[in-house]
Amino acid sequence: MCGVGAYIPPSVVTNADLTVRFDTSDEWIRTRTGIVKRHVVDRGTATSDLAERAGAAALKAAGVRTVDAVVLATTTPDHPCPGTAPMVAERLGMSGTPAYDVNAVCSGFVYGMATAAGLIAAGVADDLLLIGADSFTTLLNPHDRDTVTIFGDGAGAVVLRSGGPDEPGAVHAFDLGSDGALADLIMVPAGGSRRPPRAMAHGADDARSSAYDDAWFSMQGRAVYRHAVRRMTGSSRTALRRAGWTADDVDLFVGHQANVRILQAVAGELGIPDDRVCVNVDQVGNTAAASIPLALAHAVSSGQLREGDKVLLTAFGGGATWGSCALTWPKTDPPSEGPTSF
Amino acid sequence: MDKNHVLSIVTKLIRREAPEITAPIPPAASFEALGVDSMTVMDIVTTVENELGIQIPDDELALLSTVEVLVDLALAELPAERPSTT
Repeated sequence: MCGVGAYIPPSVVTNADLTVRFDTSDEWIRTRTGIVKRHVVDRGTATSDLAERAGAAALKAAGVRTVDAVVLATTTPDHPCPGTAPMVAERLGMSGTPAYDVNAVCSGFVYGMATAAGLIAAGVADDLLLIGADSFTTLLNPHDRDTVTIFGDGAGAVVLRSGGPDEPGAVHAFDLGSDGALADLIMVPAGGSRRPPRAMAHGADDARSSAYDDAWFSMQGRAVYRHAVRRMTGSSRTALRRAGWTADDVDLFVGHQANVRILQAVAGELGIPDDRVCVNVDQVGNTAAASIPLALAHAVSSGQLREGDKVLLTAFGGGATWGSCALTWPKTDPPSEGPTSF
Repeated sequence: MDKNHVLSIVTKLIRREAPEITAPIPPAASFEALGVDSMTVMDIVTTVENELGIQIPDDELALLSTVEVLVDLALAELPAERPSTT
């Protein structure tokens, strides 16, 4: 890893804004999620727009203009078809470069890291741009308090290159997993090949119909909490073991920023103290595939990450999917683009 | 293990996970009325599962509203006791 970039859209939704729309309070949201505000895309802004800005920032931070491949982790592509990565690559001046999307929902960035490592190991690319970007608020039922309070939009990106295991920035170990039996925990039920958009043409705009409900994102919160804590903990332990590290070795734990309670629960299970847990969910909400790279950018900006630090990434997402990655942090400059609130 | 025994275990674990609750915990009390939020409910469920060596199914979690419902779900997952042979 050799460069980090971030971008979040300028429009902000605070907890106070949500108390106008829902029967809730700032205190209710903070105690359950730890979230204070989230940034959201305006109508007409798409995931590629966020990804392009974050990608450009990461390229600049890495001191390169082009790379050999572009991988975009997202669950909210600009269009159901084609993938969004080729458009992003073209706009970044890399037309002709291999580019494709990875969909592992909130685990997407960690899956993307493994994909990137594979492309480098296979000799397809000597360096590449990995972007995690989502406009998750475009999937949300605007009347659903439980999801609207949680999710935000954004993009984060890193540049990865080939290198030796002793160099700062080296990626040491992965653990990835999935369990399709848990697919319905986190889902947009309709709009794919199981229930194509044409089958929803009647009723999709009618708030009283099930077709309307099924076109939106749904989440079984309690079960997600249970499985997220269990899988992120187990996966972290596996990645640590494969890296030859213990929890005591970890300088910074960067978990998927779904909810501060989940982060605390996983870190507690692993025995990692609070001062070594990266938290920025309070400022951006759950940004799905963008969550971990935005947290990394936050950690760089706030001085939490220094060259040579041992970093543990872990995530859980729809699918269900989960994954962890152990790496040492490279020398990085603060992200050149992004909100001043970092 | 009878229902009262499970109730006493569950009540003890609720007090451990939510020490801010000092009032009596009637079985019919809803977690919401006790001031226990949904994620603390899940922490309590996990503790109960670990203590009793059981797993409450995912599809029961959304409807888990009261202490008594949790007790009944735990009882349903416990292996049936074999009748005494003495």
